[in-house]
Formats: sequence, C-alpha cells, structure tokens
Amino acid sequence: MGEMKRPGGELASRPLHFFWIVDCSGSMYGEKIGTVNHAIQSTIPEMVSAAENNPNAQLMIRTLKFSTGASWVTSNPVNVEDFAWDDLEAVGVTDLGKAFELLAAQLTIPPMSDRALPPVLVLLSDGQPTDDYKKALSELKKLPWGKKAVKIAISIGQDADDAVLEEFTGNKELVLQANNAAALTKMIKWASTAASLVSAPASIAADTAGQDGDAPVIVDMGGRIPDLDDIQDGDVW
Amino acid sequence: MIRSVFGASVQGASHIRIGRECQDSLKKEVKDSGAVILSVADGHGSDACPYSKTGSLTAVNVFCRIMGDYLDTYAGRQEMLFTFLTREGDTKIAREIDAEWKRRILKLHTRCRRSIPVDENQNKDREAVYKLYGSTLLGLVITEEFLFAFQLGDGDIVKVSESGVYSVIEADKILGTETHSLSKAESWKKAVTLTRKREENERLPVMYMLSSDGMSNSYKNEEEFQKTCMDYYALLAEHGVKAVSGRLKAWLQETSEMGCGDDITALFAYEAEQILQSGSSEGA
Repeated sequence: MGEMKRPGGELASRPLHFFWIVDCSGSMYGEKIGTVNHAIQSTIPEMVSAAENNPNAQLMIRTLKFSTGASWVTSNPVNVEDFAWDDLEAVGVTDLGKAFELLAAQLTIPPMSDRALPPVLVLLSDGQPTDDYKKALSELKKLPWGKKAVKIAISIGQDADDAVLEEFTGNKELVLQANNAAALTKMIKWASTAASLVSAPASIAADTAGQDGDAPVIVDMGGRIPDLDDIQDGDVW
Repeated sequence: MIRSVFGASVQGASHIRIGRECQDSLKKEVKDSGAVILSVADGHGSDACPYSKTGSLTAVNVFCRIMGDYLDTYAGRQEMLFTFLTREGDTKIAREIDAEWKRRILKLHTRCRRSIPVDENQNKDREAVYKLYGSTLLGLVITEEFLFAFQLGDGDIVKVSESGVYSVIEADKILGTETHSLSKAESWKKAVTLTRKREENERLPVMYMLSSDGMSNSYKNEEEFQKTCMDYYALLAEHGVKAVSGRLKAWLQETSEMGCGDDITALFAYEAEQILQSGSSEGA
C-alpha cells in the first residue's frame, strides 16, 4: 500500500482583480496627472505588503486609461508583486464610454473566473464624459461581475461630474472628493486598500430582496474614508 | 451494505492568521433504523457576525433534530415520509428549520444577556440579532429508500460512484463572497430541497460528501474540485475509512493553506459491500 497523499486536484488562491481606470484627458494635464502618477506608484509597496499578508488571495492589477479613446496600459492582469506603474500623460477628450466598453469585455466569464473575489474598480476623473457613456455603463452593470464589483470613484477638482461618478459607483459615499494634490494622494491611497477589505474569506449574507443575489456588494468602507478636514489645504483645482 | 460516516472541520488559514475561531460546524446522527442525518453549516465569520460559530452550531443541531423527529414519527412508513418530504420539503420543512433556528438564536442571545438592538421606534430589532449569528446550512438524510437533501446558502452536496461525480442538489451560486443565510427574514424561501428514491440494486461503493464552500473555493476550478471528490472516493475504496478519516483533518488544513484560506468542513457517508477497516491508518 503506497504513501497516501492529499487527495485532489490543483489548489489555488482566489484571484482578486483590481483595476485603476484613469482619466487622461487634456484637463488632467500638469499637476493632476503628475499627482496620480506619483500617488499610484507609491501605493504599490503597501499593496504588495497587504497581499503578502493574505496568501489566500491572488491580487492582480491592471490599468485602463481613457482620453480620446481608451486603451489598456497593462494588456493582461499582472500579479501585484510584478506590477510597475508607467507614468501616464494627459491629452485629448474624455471618452469614458469607451473605457466602460473595454472594462466590460474583461469582466465577463471568462476571462474572469466565477470563483474570483469581487473585483475592485477605481475610477479617477476630473471632467465630464465627451462620449455616450450611458449605454456602455448600463452594459457593464448588467454583467454578473459588473454588478458584484466594488466600485470606487475619485472626483478630481471642482469640474468633475459627480453625478456620472455616482452612476458608476451606485453609492454617493464611494465618490471621493479630491480638490487638491494632498487630497488626491490620500484618496488614491485609501482606494488602494479596498483590495484587502474584499480579500477576506468571510461571507456576507445576500440581500434576499434582490433576485438571486443580484444586488451590488456592500462593502462597509464608509467609516474609514479619510476626512477632507484632516487633509492640509493646497491649491484648489 | 455497510455505511460509514465521518468528517472533520478545520480552522481556515486566514482565520488562523487573525486568531478567529473556525466558524463551521458539522453534525451526524445515526438512527436505530439505520437512517443517517448529516449536516454542515458555515458561519459567515465577518465582523458583522461575531457569533456565527454559535449560529452554525445551532443550524446543524436544528436540522438533525427536526429531521430526526420526522424519521421517528414516520418510522416504518418510509413511503409516506418520502411523499411528505417531496411535497413539503422546500416549504413546510424549510419554514420549520428557519423558525426553529431563529427561536433558538433569540433564546441563546437572551440567555447570554447580550444586548438586543432596537430599531428607530425603540422596538427590539430581532433581525439585527439574527444577523450577529449568520450561517448557511447543508443537510442530507439517507435512508434505505430515499435521499432528502437541503441547502440554504453556499457549499456542496455531492454523490460519487463509479460512474462519476454529480451534485445531489443544485443551489444558487452567488458570485464573490455573498451567500444566502438563515439570518435573513424568510430565509426559507431561498432554501432548495431534493427528495429522490434510491436506485434498486445500486452498485456500491457510493460516497456522499457535504462540504462548506471553503473546500470548493480552494480548487482552481470546478473540474479540479470534482477530481478531488473522485480521489477521496478512490482512497476510501483502496485504503478504507479509518485511513482516510485519520488523515482528513491534515488534508483539509493543507487544502485551506494552499487554497482560499477559509474554514473547511467535509462530512462523508460511504456505503460499500464491505468497509475496509484495516490498512494504513497509522501516521494520521
């Protein structure tokens, strides 16, 4: 009788997909895009560290930029340990709908796995969409993972269209205000921690009012959002 | 035919890291008639459900108690019980389980002198109490004549025979970390049940496995999970129940560590012409 090994197929941690969706339109030129580049770059070590503390979730990161059109900066999901930020430049208009189309294509099953943890979508924008985003957003939100994704938006400056961002998040509290460089840095850092909040294996009781769990995932993050009063004033955008 | 029942629960690797106890529970009961009742429950384990271990323990106790009472009441009248469960499984039985779990939770909560939240009208908020104990529930009754399966929330009940692996019951699969829960109002409406006559002259051995979602979530995909079920079946045939049950806890622990990190519970019923009791149980 041979040695008995653990029965079974291939084990795997659960994938957790994190998307940075960045407005690179002309109005982001200068300090705004510079702050975004620097702030996201600086979150990487902390995201790596958080991922190391939870080896049972496999954190994969991707960046999607949109301006005149939209495109993936990282064509495939990258393990957080291998993720590097390529500085983005700002020029062109705000084709948010195009970004939603690309995103939707990646949130279908496949390429997404049905055993993944809820994906995290972080949208950063300072302006108003210049294309018809509504149809693409509606399609995105019809997808099973589109419904279940944790959606956060960072509203940059006073010209940002918060109503559009709220349509995206479905939750006013998750539209974070960033009217200067210090606030933007802090909000980006805070948004990057969303991955660790959804990576725990704890279950959430589904809302029985929804049909077959169609309701969006409610992640209790409200109490942790940085208070704008605590952020030092700088030049207001 | 000989039937053997065994199982184990392990604290998930993620829960070990943060010092949170295993939120799963399992219970098995063998009746004098030879019928067995198996139950597995998975407490939610989130910060919002600090007593979900008690919730899962209460859930398996409620299932075994209610189904045990039905087996006693209908003793010697299996055909009638089969008809009753087929007709009333996802209504009367599911309602009864829902109500009894909630009754016991309120009683426990009060007995432990834990505070009862109040709503905006200062009325006792029972729903908020149930939420503190949130749990799923899987159950299986195996008699000589039929199977009765019950599922509320995530997890798996599978049957393995020489012809392969299949789900005894197909419940809603919700993406991500959400699940249906006993803690929700009218949770019975989300329960799924199945009553099925056993095949005459069924070829043995046959294995049934109830497992919390930590098990299937630890595998790369559904095919790998099914391969695992098949492997357990093959090991039972080759090495016997004692050898497999002796190593089960260590295997589940390894599965959680290398998989999703959640608590894992697996409860087996193995039926064979002869149960191999000798063999390599040492070193378990």
